[in-house]
Amino acid sequence: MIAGTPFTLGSPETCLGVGLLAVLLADMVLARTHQQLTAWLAVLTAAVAMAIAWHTPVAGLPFGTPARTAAIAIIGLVLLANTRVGEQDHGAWSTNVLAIGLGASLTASAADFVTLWLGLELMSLPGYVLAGWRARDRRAAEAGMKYVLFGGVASALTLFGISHLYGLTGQLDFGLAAPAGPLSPTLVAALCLSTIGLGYKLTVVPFHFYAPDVYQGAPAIAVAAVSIAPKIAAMAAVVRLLTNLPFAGADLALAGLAIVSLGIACFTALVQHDARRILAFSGIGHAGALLLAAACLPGQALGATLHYLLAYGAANLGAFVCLWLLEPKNGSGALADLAGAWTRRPGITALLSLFLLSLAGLPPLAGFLAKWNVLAMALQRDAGVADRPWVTWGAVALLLSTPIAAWAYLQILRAAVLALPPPETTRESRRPDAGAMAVLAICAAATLGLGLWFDAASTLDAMAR
Amino acid sequence: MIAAALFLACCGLAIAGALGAALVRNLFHAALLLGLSLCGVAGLYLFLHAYYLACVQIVVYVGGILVLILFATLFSADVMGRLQRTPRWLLALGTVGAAVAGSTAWQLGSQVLAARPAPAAVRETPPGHDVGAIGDLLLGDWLLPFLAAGFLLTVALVGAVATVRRHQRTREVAHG
Amino acid sequence: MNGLGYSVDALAQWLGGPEAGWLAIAIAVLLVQVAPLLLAVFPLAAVGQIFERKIAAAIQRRHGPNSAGLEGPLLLTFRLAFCFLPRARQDRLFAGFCRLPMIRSLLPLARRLGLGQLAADGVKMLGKQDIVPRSADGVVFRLAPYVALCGAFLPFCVLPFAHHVVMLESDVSVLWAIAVSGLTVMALKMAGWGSGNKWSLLGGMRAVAQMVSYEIPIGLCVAAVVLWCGTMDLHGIVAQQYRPGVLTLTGWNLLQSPFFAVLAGVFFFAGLAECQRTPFDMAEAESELVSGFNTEYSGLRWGMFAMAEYAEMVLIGALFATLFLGGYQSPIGEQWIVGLHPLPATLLHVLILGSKVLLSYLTMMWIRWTLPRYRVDQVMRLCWLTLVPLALVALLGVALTMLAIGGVADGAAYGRLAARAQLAPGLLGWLFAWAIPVAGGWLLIRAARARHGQRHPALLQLTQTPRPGGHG
Repeated sequence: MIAGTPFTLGSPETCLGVGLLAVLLADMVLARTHQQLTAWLAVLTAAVAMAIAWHTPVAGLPFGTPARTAAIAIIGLVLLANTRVGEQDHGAWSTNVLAIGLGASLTASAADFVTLWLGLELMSLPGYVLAGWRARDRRAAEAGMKYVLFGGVASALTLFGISHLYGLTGQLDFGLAAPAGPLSPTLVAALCLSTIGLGYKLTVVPFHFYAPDVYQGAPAIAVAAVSIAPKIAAMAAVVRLLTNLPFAGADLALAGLAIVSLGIACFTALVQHDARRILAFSGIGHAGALLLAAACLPGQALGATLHYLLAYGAANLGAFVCLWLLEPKNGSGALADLAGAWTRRPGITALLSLFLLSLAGLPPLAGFLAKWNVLAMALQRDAGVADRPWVTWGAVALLLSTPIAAWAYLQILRAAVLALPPPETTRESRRPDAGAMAVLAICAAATLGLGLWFDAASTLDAMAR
Repeated sequence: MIAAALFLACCGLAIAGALGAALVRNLFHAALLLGLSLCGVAGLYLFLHAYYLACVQIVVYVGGILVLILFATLFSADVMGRLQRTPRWLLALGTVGAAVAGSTAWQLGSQVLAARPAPAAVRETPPGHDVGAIGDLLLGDWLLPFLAAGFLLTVALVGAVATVRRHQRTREVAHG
Repeated sequence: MNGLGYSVDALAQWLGGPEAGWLAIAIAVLLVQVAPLLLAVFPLAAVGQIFERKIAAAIQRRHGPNSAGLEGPLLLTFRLAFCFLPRARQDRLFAGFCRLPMIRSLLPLARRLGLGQLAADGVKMLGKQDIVPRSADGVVFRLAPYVALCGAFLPFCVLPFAHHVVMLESDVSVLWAIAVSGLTVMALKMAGWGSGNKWSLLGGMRAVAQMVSYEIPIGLCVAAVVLWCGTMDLHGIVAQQYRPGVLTLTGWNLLQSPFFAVLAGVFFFAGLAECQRTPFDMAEAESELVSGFNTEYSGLRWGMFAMAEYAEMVLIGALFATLFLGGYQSPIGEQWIVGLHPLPATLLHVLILGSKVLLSYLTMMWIRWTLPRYRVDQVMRLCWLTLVPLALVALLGVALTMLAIGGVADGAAYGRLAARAQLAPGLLGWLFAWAIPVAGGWLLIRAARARHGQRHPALLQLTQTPRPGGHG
């Protein structure tokens, strides 16, 4: 019997969906003077959904519960950071960001391929809109176009794979789609095709081409929504797939992708002249590290993966919010535009350096502990753990890529802290409001806290198992 | 006899239309051929006694999506222009792709023919009474994807409107 | 099954039973039964045209065609019929025929009515040179009229003309009718693009934009009726509207609730737009677009488009009657018609459906010769800001009505036809279904008036459309 992912009224998806419609209606009905309410309604929706997600376990996937909560939390923080109505079409903004949250929630809780695909699409479509958010901007148009085209192809291939899977097995459930015996090559091909969408959302290497352009073209605050929450949700789906459909070459494939992602990302990041492009390649590298963590899944890897996701999410969100506040309005993220940030806004620049150092993996910040955990997992030589040469090589790649990537992060810091502002720049940047400051504070606290919480991996592992 | 001929005609229509859509360089013709292919697939649904699906295929794909595609081709540059010649490298690549696709299709087909498990829910319904069964599935086991699809379309609509409106607004600003 | 239904069954048997597939049956039916229909519709369209010209003349207080009599066509018929006789004998025979008392009095009447125009127009259409412009895309240009005819005639396959007289019985016949009538959109687009002419292209684009938009209110109206009747089978929809007793018309959907009245209005107007009739004929606006997508067509190809248009008018009328006016059923005393022998009953049913179609046909012409043409933006505004919201509200209203008067009480399986008893709410339920929405609407209007005065902002927005270019 085919059976989809069960629907329950008390799920975060319901909350997000109802909230989304409410925001849409409020945007339509409320007068211009009361638009602020719409923004706060969206934040409230995300907060309530987060609370529900925390208390509602995802059926069949303990890892999904914290992942789903984290993804919704990221969405809520993005909404909280940008509550100032007036400079944007706020109703559409809130709706799109909430839709990303809805998609992430669906993806993390999906137990069948149709729901998974719908979740991925729900994360993609608002992403296309947000990538082209700055109307009449050539770079935004390019970003939107590339995102749509790559996303469309990835989504079509995913559907193609899903249709093959259905044709071969007559099942759409993750668990039921696995036949008892060894997998036939056609089934493997279908599986690979149907996971392309996940790879696309994770921005691992063969599917990463859109990321730098989108990160550069979209408003920085939108990038925070488009990049982090989908990654967390997609990781939850990867974990679900790996636990439900274990097949022999999985660790090889994952570690291979991880090595390629790490290698390409760290070298390409060195030659960029745009802070957001550097962060895009950092995202690609971190996706590689996450896949490496997933490659050693049986073991304590669940906790390590979760910790890595949280550390990456907090630091990345903080970095993007800082960039959003430091950049000139309608600016790109060019390193030259950041010059003089230290003299203008020393506090935010200091926070930016904190987040970037965490992404680079410096102790005592969260990024260091996360990388340490993954390395420990990959190099584990316990009895009962099979010999995985590819995973070892992946760990070597992670070790080697870290200092190279750190140099790229230092480029941003040098531009923001050391470079003097050219005398003629009087371009206005955004004034941080209470919401944005609260978000920065939360991210900074998380970055420090996750870095100092030494037994995080084992504690989180107990939660996600 | 007649039925077999019609069935083969539908198959031919679907394949030939798809091939034409992929190979023809004139955008408008390619879109029309795509319509032919979609109609052929609708015909195959009829042969499988999936009348509802066939009608929906025509309503959604031929009446909706294809019309949209045709609309877009009318807005594209050089649609009335001379046909271009296909470059050699594209032909070569296309041949390789076709070979790979063909072999996959062959393997898939042989596997499917060898062991074809039909989903239980579909098999239960008598031919021609699939509407109720589809309704049961959509509002029963598959309620979550059904609702999610609704949200997906809503969000797509909101996104489209937001994009267009932003462009219009900036144009108004630009022109005073 | 009576009437034509037998022949469909026989055909299916002859083709090899149910294994032959529905499509085989469909195509065989098309060949065997639609061909006569097509042949019947050629003259019908011509009659429709002459009919329209006379009505237009009446509305505009002029005579219309009044000098072409039937003498010429009759003489031609005589010459063809008695071609074996010498010419002088033919003439004498014809003169004798014309002197017959009844003919003598009828011929001047035919002349005054301009019936000869019919034949003249037909001959003109057939005799015109068939031109394919050099810049046209030959294949697409030639193919378009046939696609238009397909789109106009295929929906008739599922239309119940009388009790069990339907070419194809199907569970999803409403959907089929909507689906295949969508082919017309393709045809117009092909014609517009294939002509290689910018007027045609513009006309085609306007036509497609209009038709695609107006399919949405039509779909919503059909969805409401399907929801109410619990079936997508047109025959089932007609059967749902049957009430025993003298007043069959109490079962008509139109009278079930005020929401259906709204839906019927929306359906009629959207249908008008689907047929590209005035006031929705901006796609062929002859004064600005040189008649749009059929600028380059002449002769029989143009005639096919015209015929498709008339057939579509008939189709919209027939669907309107089927969905809202009880289909082929008589408003009074349907019970006795069903009790008759199948043959007269079928004839009566066809006549009743025909008169219902005629009613909407006349209304369409009345509208055409009374109202001016809508502008492009007005057409879109009417669809998206008036008809779609109205249809949505009415759909919701129908659903709520069903909930209130117990229409879905037995819906153990979601709308499964077999498990569903006939929805007959009784007098009390009927009163309830009318009273609540009417009272609610009245209160709503009063409240809006109290708050905004006579002119509600939404109404103002609808009536005062901003002009493109911003001079408004």
